Order: sequence, then structure tokens, then C-alpha cells
Amino acid sequence: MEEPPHKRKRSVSDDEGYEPSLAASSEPSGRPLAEVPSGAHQHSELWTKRPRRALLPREVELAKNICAEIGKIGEYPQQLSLDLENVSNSIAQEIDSDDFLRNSLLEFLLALTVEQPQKVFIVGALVQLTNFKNPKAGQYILEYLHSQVQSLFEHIKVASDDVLESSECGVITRIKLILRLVAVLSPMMVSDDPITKTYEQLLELAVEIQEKSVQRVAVAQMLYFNVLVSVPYHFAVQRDEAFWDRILEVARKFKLVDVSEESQTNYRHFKSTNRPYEAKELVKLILPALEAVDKGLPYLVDLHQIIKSHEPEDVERHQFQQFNIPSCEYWASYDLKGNIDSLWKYPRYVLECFLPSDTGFDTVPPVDSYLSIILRDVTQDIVQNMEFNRVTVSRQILSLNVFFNEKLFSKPNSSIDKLTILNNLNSGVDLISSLENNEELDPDIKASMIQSATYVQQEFDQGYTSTWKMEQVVTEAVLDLMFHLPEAPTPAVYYQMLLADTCGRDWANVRRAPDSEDKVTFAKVLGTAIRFFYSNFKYLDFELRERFVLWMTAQLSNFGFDWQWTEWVDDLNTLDKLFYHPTIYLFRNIIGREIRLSTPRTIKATLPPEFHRFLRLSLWDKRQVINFDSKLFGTKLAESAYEANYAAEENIEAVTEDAGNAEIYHIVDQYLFNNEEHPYHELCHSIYTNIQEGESLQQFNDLIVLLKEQIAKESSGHPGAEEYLIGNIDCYIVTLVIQSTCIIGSRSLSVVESGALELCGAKLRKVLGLPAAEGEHEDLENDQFPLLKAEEVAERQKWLIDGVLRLWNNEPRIGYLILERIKNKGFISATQLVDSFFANNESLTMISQVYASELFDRMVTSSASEAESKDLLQTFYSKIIEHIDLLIEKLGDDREEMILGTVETEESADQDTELRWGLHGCFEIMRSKARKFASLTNFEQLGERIEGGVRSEVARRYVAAIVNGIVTQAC
Amino acid sequence: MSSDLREFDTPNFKNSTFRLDRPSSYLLNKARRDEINGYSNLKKSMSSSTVYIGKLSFDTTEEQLFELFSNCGTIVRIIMGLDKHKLTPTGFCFIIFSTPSGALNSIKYLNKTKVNGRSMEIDLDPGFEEGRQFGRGADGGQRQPQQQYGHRYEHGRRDAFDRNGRSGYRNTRGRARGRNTYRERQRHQTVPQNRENYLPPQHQESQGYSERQSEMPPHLMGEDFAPNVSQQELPPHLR
Repeated sequence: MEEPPHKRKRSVSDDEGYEPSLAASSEPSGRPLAEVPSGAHQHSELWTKRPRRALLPREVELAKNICAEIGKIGEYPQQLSLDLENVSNSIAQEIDSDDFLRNSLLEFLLALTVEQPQKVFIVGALVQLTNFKNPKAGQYILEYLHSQVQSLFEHIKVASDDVLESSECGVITRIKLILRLVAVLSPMMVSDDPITKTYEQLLELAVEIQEKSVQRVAVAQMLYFNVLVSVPYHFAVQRDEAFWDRILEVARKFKLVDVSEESQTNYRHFKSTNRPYEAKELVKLILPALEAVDKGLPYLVDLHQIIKSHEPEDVERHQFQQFNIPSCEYWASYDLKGNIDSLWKYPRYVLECFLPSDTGFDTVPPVDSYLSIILRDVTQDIVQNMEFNRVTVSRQILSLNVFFNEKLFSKPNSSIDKLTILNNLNSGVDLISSLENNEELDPDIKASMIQSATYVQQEFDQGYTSTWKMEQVVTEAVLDLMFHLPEAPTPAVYYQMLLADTCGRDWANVRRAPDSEDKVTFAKVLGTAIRFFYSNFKYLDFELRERFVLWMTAQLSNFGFDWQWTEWVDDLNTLDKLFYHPTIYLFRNIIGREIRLSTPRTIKATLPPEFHRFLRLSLWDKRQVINFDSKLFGTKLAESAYEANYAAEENIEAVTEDAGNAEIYHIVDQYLFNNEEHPYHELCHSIYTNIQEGESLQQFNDLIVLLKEQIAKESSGHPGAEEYLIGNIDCYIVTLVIQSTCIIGSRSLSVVESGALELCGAKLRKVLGLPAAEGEHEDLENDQFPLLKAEEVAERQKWLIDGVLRLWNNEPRIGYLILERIKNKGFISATQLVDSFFANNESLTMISQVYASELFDRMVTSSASEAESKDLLQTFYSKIIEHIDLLIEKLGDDREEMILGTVETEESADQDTELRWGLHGCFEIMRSKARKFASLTNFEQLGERIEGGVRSEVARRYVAAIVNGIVTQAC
Repeated sequence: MSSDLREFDTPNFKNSTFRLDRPSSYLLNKARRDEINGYSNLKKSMSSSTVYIGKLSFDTTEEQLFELFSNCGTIVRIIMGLDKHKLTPTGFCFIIFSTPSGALNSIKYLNKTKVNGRSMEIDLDPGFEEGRQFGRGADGGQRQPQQQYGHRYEHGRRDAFDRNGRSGYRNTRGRARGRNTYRERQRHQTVPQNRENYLPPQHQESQGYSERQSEMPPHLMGEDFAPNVSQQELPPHLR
């Protein structure tokens, strides 16, 4: 918003002015002449006379200013009272003057209530103060809120398929948030009965809906939770014990229905019996939390305290109508939509990542306490409802303390060391005297320790006795959203960037306040979280592993890829031989994605030598590469080229900074058709030129004739000479054409897509044996390329895929991106790509590379028809089942503990451990994809496939249970 | 003189803070000067599924951008901004998504975040047209059609315009220089243009504009966004 008319001291967290000003052409004051061309100075008078911005009508200007003020109230606690007084004066005076103004103010108040629910008491105080000054204003606001809530209730009755805007939280959450303000405003009403009745009625509805079903009803659980979580707000202003008791009485009747154990696993963050904590379902926490709550409600801002001094003796109160609440049937058939409501569709488990086991004391409020629940609720509402402005969100979540009882938390940015001291003080240790009496300490160190202890003691005496860190509370709430199962309510990139932004903002604040003793930044909190996930990575849900990789790399890429890798070196050494182990998966994918976001050179500089092996991204190992090359070029060339290339690729520093991917990954060196040692390289070059220059198909055909003749002649002329002999000429030609195409398009993806593939399309189709596309000339003289049968085409398409993957073996993810484009143009099929993810039995790309899984998801969601997506999924399931069987066969042991148990002793990094983790990967990716694409999965067919495909009884039962768990929830 | 931008000029009271998924003031300014298409271009920018990304380092690759932006929506096409003569990247690009939400997501979530160590500047765009890979403006140049703002910059020099209302080659060079930023000038010094070649005037016009210049939206200029932390000042990150 615009700079307010009266200026206030800028706080360190103040970020006014980052908004594009509404009446656009106003320049920031510092640089008004920036646009003046140098030759126009003589006209500068004219220039300055140009109106800097269109003048807004008075009422618009006024509304803007008042709203900007309202939006900031409470952010500076020391001037809260003054601000409330001033702003309520403005509202009281102006709300009658103009319709536009009134509507704008009402709209804005509502937006603030929904988007920044932490401020509800402040907004409540403001409205009440306004009401003291102008009762009519109070009346308007109550009427407006009433109509808004009522229209939301009406919404429940109409089954609409409206696509909600991404920032829409959903009807039920909106009702919750607005009702909360209404409850806070209840002292303005003649009677608060309409509020208490509404809450009771909603809760009874929840009980009734759930009563009618044996299964978990999402709407009922959500209503139940939303009412209970809001009731303390009413209690805080009304202190109505009778109502409190009545509500809890009704709540106890609510039937908390569990989904089956099989299904529960699908929505828990951590699997296995050794998970870091016992998963708790959010809905089950709220009633015990309320029963145990301190009814003084020390968490919440004391509204009465704020308005007391302003309250006149005689307050005018207003009538508030009872809401017309839809009946049970409407609610029962209501389909949850919106980015918060839909979180309730499936059982909602609470994510915990700051456990006391790390520090020995609590750094966040206990997860089952009301404070923890309400903070999570409020933070998540802020994060979701203002998803359109992550800057404001990060500012608000950093200053969330201000809107709750500050002294319940340690001061912002307190270090764990300080919290340890606080914890000691809490348990009665007199730290200063024990330090003073300590003879063993170096006097200098002692002095500085005593100094910091004194400092902590002072804060402690001021009442900051808590060891809870608000930064951890909000981080946990954001991560809870990012890691929500089955899917995050907004693209995960939002949470990643929100956290990275918050880090940057916090760090800037710390730098701007150099005197502060508290220098531990938000980044450290994220570090703690990252370490928590790292140490429990093998229990983490498979899909969450992928999300974690994306989060961690996004975070690091915004801060120079700086990470303390050395602390993980020991783990790496223990697990070095393994491929499928989750920790190795994490290293491989994090470093791989870091490279994808920058360059191998940049990343190499951030890694200790032990981790350098992950800089090699290749899918094919030495044996496979040489094997492939030998078939085309003979063993001698294959081996010598491999050695030469390997040395060049090792030398990452030799690549210049502005090199493109083709140079970084030495693409041309992999193109052995052009190697001088290869006897046919001249003819291959002519063919390459033919393709590059877009010469005619006939000429191409003639060159192929020539090539075939030369090969025939030379190989009979040099009997026994391996390099002259081409085992499979068709494969040779397909590889030549596709690799040439890739070389032509090696500059970038779009050059492949709209340049190379367009240019070479006709020739590619010819060598694959596909019919010509429309408008392509196909009558050739001496045509070398007959149309082929489907299975022959399929074989050639496989050669094509291999050709691309071989060429881009140093960066296979680009190879796959190119293949995705080749697939989009119809040269190969999506199922063939899925096949290629499973092509290597020793290292299944599908379960070991995040990019493969991402590409798979993209192909399923963007395929032309639903039938195609279903096919693709079925191919995937069959492949997974096939490999489950293979792995068990290799393991040669299908006892339950071998197949299902998590491998805990990694010291024995042997073949069995490797196979067991491979098996685990197959099970879990199957769960992940079936859960994600439940609506596209033909479960009946899948069931049959499992029945017929998995020979081991234990594994069969287990896979069937995974699928069952998903089916029952999907239905 | 200026066009009515309707809802884009009206303060928004429906949200408690402004929305990042709206045209920047660069786009608003541009639209305001364009009486004929200004408003409709803004409308288009909200639904075109296209974003403009500036301030990239020259070695940023399509594949890097793909890795980052595919999290916002399905990418249809990435068009790297190129130097018209050398066909090398010039630090900007367009990304076309399959749905408008992809574009809106990227401006909401990724604006001002880093790729290759540099903060990107993302803005909505009315839609890519061939030629714009050489410059953000409608015809691949940065300039506006002259008749709209000639009187602002070239007041009293209308005689210099030819009949089409377009200024000649010399004028634009002068203007181009005036609006060059420091960085741009530096770049010209390090990469001198080959002046021996005859280049037709219309090519020259776009010289100074192959990249977005000083009309950077004011809100993106200061430290106010998630502030830039330079390499030396990195937080003791996660240590």
C-alpha cells in the first residue's frame, strides 16, 4: 500500500513500498528523472509538469489510505492503542459518507479476517472502538459479516463445479474464519445467542453426519475440528463457562472413525515401526486439547484489556440474526474444495520435525496442546490464503509472536544454546554462580560466558522463560503443508520459495540490527529441519522423499549451494556400495538436481571430494557404454574412446563458464560416427551434412545405399577386422540418424524441438519404418526404407531411445527431456519411455532418479486421452510387479522379515541389503503412483496382475494391501 | 494522452495485501501509453499463459529454466532471448505454459528467486510473437511506437520523424544511449559491435533494447523484496 499520510518509524521488518503503486506511473521518489533522456533536459520543465499519476477520486484515495492503516494495525505493539484510536476515528467518520468507501472498507475488513487470521482480535478491537464512536458503523459491519456467512451457507446447498482461484481456501474454512471474527465481536450484540447456537448447531451436524456413516466422513471431521478450534475465541471474550461445557458435551458424542490400517499408512509421513514419532491424527487432538486447556487462555491477545480504556459507559448494542444453516443432507453431500478444505479429504496427520529428543527439551509447544493446534491452524490459513503474495506471508509469519502472547515464546532468533540456558534456569539451576565458582575455566572464556549468561538471566527475569521457538512452529506448519499427503494444496514450489524468502528476509533483519544478541537466523531452523528429515529419510514416504529433494535443492540454490556435506561423509562411506539405499538416493538426487539448476563446475566447488562421484550423472556404466559402442564401432574404438572421454569428463574445471550443455557434457565426443578411427566416418559425415542442410530425401536415400554398399565391400575386404563389420546395419542407421539429429539440436531443447526434429522428421520416420507424415514426399527411387510391421518399428524405436540415451549419457535427464519431445512428435510412445526406465535390471531408473518419476507424472497427466494415461499406468504397474518378482528371486529368500522389514543394520552393505532396498523402492513407488493417480488406475486389472504376477506369497499380500488401502479411500 | 486501464487502475480491496500475480508497473506504464491496445494487452497478459523473465545470466540454459519452472505448470515452450546478430543469449526469455495458472504461479512463486546465482525478474506477458526473441517489445525492440510518446521525449523535434511517424536511425541511437544502463554500456564495451558491416537502420533500432532497460518496475528495484544477499554475505547458512 501507499506510504501512509503520517509517517511512522520504519521497523526492520518493514517493507512498505515494494508494491507496484496502484496508480501506476508514480516513480519511487529516489529516481524521478531516470527516464528523462539526456537530450531533453531543456524541456525538463515540461517533463516535471507531466502529471505523475492519475489522481484518484477522493473517496478512493481515502479508502486506500484507511485500508492501508487497518492492514498495519497491531504490527507495532507499542503504538497499538494510538493506531486503534486513529483508525477507528477515520472509519467512524467516513463510513457513512460514501457507498464506495463503505463497501471498500467492509470488503477489506473481510479480506483481512480471512487472509490474516492472526489479527482477529485486533480487527475485533478496531470494530468495537469504531462502534463506540459511531454505532451505525458497527451495525454495517455486523450486517455485512452476517450476509457473508449466510451466503457461504447457501453455497453448501448448491453443488457447483466452480473452479476456485488458487488462493481460495474453501467454503468451510471461510465460514470458520469469519465466524471467529463474529464471535470476537459478540460483545457488540444484544445477545450472543446466535453465535453459540451456530457453533452448537454446526457441531451437532457434524455428530449427526458422522453418526449416519460407518466410514470416516471428511466434512463431519472438518466441521467438528473447525468449531472446536474456534470456540476458545468466543470464550476469550465472553467467558461463558456454560457454553464451553455444552460444546464439549456435544463434542464427546462425535464418533472419531478410523480408516483401515492399510489406508492410514498412505497418509502418514513416516512408515515403518521405527518411525521417529507416533503419527497423530489432527482431528483426534482437538478435544483432549480443549479439555486440558488453561481457561485463562494466556495464548491469545486480551481483547478486553485493549478496549477497556476506550469503552464508554453506555455502549449501543445491535441485534444479530440467527443464521439459516443448511440441513444435514446438504452437508453430507458437499464435496470439499479449496486449498484448505481439501486437506481434510483424507486422514490428516500432523507433521513433527522438531522433536525434543534432539535437544533434551521442548523447542515447540507439545503437538497435542491447544496452543500448538491453533498456531498451526492460523499459520496454515495465512500461508494458504495469501498464497498470491509470499512476501507478505513471510513477513507475517516472522512476526507472528506479536499477535499471540509474546512471552510464551523465546525472543525471535534465540539460539539453541540460549534455550539450553533458559531450560536450566527453568529447572532452578543458578548458572551465573555455578560459572563463577568454576575454577577450571579459562578466565576470558569464563568472563564471556558469564556475560551471555547474565544477558539470558535478564531476559528470563523479564518473563521470557520459554524455550519454544516461534520460527520452528511456523516452519513446521509450512512443512506440514508442503509434505501433505496425498498432495500438497498448492504447488510445492510455493512453500520452497516461501521458506527461502523468509530466510533471506530474516537474514536481512539480523544484519540490519547488528546490536542484537540473537543472531541465529531462520536458516538455522531450516538446517535443523533438513537434518531431521535426513536422519529419518529411510522411513519417509517415497513421494515425500522426492518433495524433500526438491525443497532442499531449491533452498540451497537460493543460497549459493552452501551446505555442510562433510557431516554426512561417514554415512556415505558406510553405504558407498549401495545404490538403492534412501540415503544414497538422497545424495544422488540432491547433487544431480543442484547440477541441473547450475553447472557441475559450480557444484563441484561446494562438495568434499568424497561426494565427487555423484557429479557423474550417467545412467550407463562403463561396461554398458562400451558394449553399446562395440556393436556399432568395434571394441577397439569403443574402448579407446571411452578412456579418452572419461579423462576429459573428469576435468570439470576445464569447461569454460559460458559453455552450453553440449560442451559441458562433451556431447560431440560421444558421437563416434564422426571419429576418424571409424572407417565409415566420411560417409557418415555426408549423411550428417545431408540431415543438417535439410537436403532431399532422395539424396539421403542414395547416401544410405552408398553406405550399405561400402559396408558390404569393406567388411568382406577385411575379413576378421572387427571395426569394418557392422553387425546390425539397421540399428547402425537408426542410431546414426537420431544421434545426428541430437547433435544438430544439441544447443538447446527448443532447437531440438522446433529445429532439429522438424528438419529431420521425414528421415527419422523413414528409418523407423513409419509412414510419411501428411505433405511429405515419399516416392523414392530405390527406396531403402519399406514400411515396417509394428513390432519391427518398436524394435527400431528402442534403438532410437538407446541412441539418445547413449549420446546424453553424461546428463541423462536432458536425454530424457529430448526423448519427451521426440515422443510428443509421435516418433516413439510414452510406454516405450516407461519401459526404458526399467531397462537396466541393476539400477532401475524409475525408483532411483527423481527426474524419471517426474517425467512419468508429466506423461500421465498430459497425455492426449484418459485411455492413454491408463495404459501408461498399467505398463508401469506390470513393470513394477515384474521387478518385484525378479528382485525376490535374486534375493532367494522370501521370509517376511527379509521382504518387509526396514533394513536397520547398514554396516553390512552387502548384495542382500541392496536388493531389499530395491524391493522397498518398488513397493513404495507403487504406493506413491497408485495414490497419486488413483482415479486413473484400473484397480481390478491391477489386482489380477498382482495375483498372477507376484510369486512370493508375502510380497503378494503386501502389495495387495497397499492397493487395497488406496482403493477404499479412493472410492 | 493516456488510456483507461479500468480494473488495473482501481485499487483492490478484495485482498488484504496486493497480489503478485498482476501486471507490473512496467506493463501498466506501457499500457497507459498505448491508447488503442493498452487495456486489452493487460487483459491478455493475465490469460496468455506466457511470462517474460529478465535479468538472467547469459549462461542460463533452457534446461535449467525447465527444471525450475516445470514446478509451476506444464511448459509448452521456452524461448530464449537472443542477440539479433550473434544469436547468443542476452539474459531474458519467454516461457509459455499450457494454462494461465502456470504463468501466474511462476510470477507468484518464482519472481526474484535465484537461478545461477542471480535473481530473476519475472513479469506477465501478453503473449509471444515471432521476433520478440530479440527484445521484449512488440516488434522485438524495446521501443514504443513513436507517435504515442514522441512528444514526451522528442518534443519540438517532430520534423525529424518521417512520414510514418517513426524516427530515423540517428534519433533512436541518441535515445538509446540515453536510456542505457551502466551494465548495458559495460557490455557494449566488452563486446564491441562489428561496425564495419553495414546494418540496415531497422536493425540498429533494436540495438540498445535487446534487453529490458531502465523501465524495471519500481517495486523490484530496492532491497524490499526478499533481499539479495551477495555471495560474501551469505548467511552462516544451515551451519
